[in-house]
Amino acid sequence: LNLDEYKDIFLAESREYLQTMNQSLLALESTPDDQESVQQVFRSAHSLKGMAGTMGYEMITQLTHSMENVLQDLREGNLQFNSTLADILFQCLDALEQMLLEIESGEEAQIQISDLLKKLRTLEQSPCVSAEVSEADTEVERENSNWIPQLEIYEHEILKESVDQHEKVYAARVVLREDTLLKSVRAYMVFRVVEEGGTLIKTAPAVQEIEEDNFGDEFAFVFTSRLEPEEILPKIESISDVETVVLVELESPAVQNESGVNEGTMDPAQSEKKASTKKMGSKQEHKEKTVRVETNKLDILINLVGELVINRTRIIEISKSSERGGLTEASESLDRITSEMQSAIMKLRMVPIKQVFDRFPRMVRDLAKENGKGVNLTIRGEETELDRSIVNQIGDPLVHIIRNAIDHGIEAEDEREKQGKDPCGRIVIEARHEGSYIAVEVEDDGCGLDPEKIKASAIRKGMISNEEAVHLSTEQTYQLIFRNGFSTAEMVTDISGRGVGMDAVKKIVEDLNGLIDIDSQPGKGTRITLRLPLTLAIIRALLVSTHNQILAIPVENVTQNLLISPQDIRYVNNQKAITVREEIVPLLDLDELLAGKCSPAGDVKQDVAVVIVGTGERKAGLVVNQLLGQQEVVIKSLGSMLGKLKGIAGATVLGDGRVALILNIATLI
Amino acid sequence: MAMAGILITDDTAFMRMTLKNILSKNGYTIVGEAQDGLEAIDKYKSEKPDLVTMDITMPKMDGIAAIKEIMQIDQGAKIVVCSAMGQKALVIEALSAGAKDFIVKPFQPDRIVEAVQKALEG
Repeated sequence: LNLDEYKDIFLAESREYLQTMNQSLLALESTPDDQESVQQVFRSAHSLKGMAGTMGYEMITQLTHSMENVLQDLREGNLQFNSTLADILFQCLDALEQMLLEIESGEEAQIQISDLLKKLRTLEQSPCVSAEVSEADTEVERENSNWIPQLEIYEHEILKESVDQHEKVYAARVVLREDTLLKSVRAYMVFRVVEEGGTLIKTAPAVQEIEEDNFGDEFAFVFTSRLEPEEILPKIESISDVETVVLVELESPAVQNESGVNEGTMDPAQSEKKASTKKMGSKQEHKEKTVRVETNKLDILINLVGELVINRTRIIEISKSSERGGLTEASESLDRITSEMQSAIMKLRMVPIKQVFDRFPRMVRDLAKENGKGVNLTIRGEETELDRSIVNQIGDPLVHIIRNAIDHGIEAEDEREKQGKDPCGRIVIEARHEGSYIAVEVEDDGCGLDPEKIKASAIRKGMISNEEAVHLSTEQTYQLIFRNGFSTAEMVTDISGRGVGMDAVKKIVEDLNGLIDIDSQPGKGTRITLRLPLTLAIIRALLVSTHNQILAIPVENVTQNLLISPQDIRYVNNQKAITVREEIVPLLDLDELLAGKCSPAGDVKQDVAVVIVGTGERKAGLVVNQLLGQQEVVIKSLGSMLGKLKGIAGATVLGDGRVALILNIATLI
Repeated sequence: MAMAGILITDDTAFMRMTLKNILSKNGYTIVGEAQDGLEAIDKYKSEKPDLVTMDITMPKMDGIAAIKEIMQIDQGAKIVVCSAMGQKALVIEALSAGAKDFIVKPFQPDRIVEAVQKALEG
């Protein structure tokens, strides 16, 4: 059995479980008697244990097993949830996360878990109740019908037919012994018993998964039978390796079908009338509607569609100049279809920013605790979708910004009280659409930024002179924070305040063609807004020509196009510049700039076209030969041979087959 | 219940010995041993065991064919299949042919006893 091929799916699923556990533990911290969350954590730990056991990852198995013991006590009320317990469990999750990382990278296991195991063991109460455990287990499960598989409409139709034939509807959950071999065959034996007197309707996990031994120690299923529960239960229980069986009779679905079908799917668990089933139910439904695809397969598809889009443009151009009647129509419909396909495919790249936000509640909790500050976190707009590659890169900058907010923004509790603020600080993280951008905001109600303090610090570090400081506007002062080597922290903590962060944050955001803004009111708080493009793969660009080539400038960076005459040009510090809306903008020659010479524009003897580009605070006027128009372009990487060129974001192929370089304004000017 | 008589079928002597040791230690009588399916059928007829343990892969006649034959002779025959990991499809075939249960090699004594006990009860 080659386990390597299951490694990816193991890692992906394990991370999901870790995430669930993190969330549930956080929920438990706010409502310690939330049984549903205890169940969630327990189930996740249990599933993780099963998976790790199958893969032969001893340490994970050990740790999750110990966690399970503690959670079991918690679930049975032998143990009270408190912050010590929470801390230890959180540490366990961190350790698990670390182990997954080590597994992923194939490194030797570095992490030590003996301490954690010891801590868990001291938490555990008398472990002598194993005989009663399975009974208690059964009781709890009976209470809770979350495990009942959800049915699709057509499965309800089958159910209805069976009910018409006076068969009963059951749901069952079977837990196998932990060390069961050939679990799938055990499941087969269970199903055989069931099918003796009825029909199997649905299993969870799906039959195929079960057949491939792709499940933990347990599985659940819905079936109809003409037999009574007393006849079925002993038969299943007598199968070897079956540890526990829960069998519940579901209310006949025929009656409630009318109301349920409208919603597309209906939850048979509803017949048990448990409020808690809803949440889980919708989650399962979500799972069934998604397919896991390797990201590189997706990238290939996206790339191919990119090629298709380019060729479409080419065909349309050819058809325009062609006499053949049919060709125009055909190319028009090709145009339509490829456009639709393109937008559908682009949606595949989009993932909710939730993926990034999900780790913040836990992080904020830990940081707040470390700093001895109270922090209330609000997250909004986590369903906002962003290009996958942006989501992957935006995590670290956000982490840094949030850390700053907690370290430097939010004041200590007594300080806040003195100022008449709520002793508990507030951080709001929000994502939302803003035109062709996604805005991600981190706002705190802390002490805000003090421009004078920032200036003083910058002068002290020799970043600016005294005179310069006087002339800096508040906004310009804030921009100093993004300079390399800046930090105002009076006390350097181990996580932030070393002055190596905000400049890196700015760089990542700008590499993504995004913008970063700071808004702050001393004493009231700070708001940092990142504006990120919706997608990186296809952008709208302004095509311009220079003396020897065509270049594409992302429209996000273009603020204005101008035609200037020689007398508009002024000289500032011996450099050519123009005035645009009372702002002085340096004038640069695009050809020279790309040739690596940072020299200003050459002699201008006649009217020339100038594109005003900008990123964040910086602006420049690029002298070009001709403006060619706007177009959607597919960004292609230049490949590893060329690597990262300064000022170039990539290349694109134009409709006529010519290649145009796409400028990266942030690094160019 | 009187000591149940068991017929052990396996082509390797080692496995037969292991099974024999485990089962007789737990109070079962070994009424016969067979090295292949054909022999198992013969012994089933002559010894009339209460239960048969049946290896799947054997020369001459494999376990599945033997199970089918024995079930023909005696509808109430109690057969426990012995399989190796990875013989999932064969185990399922054996079960649908009429075997009551299966155990997986390498054998764990308690599993064997449990399976045999359950098969005899059921």
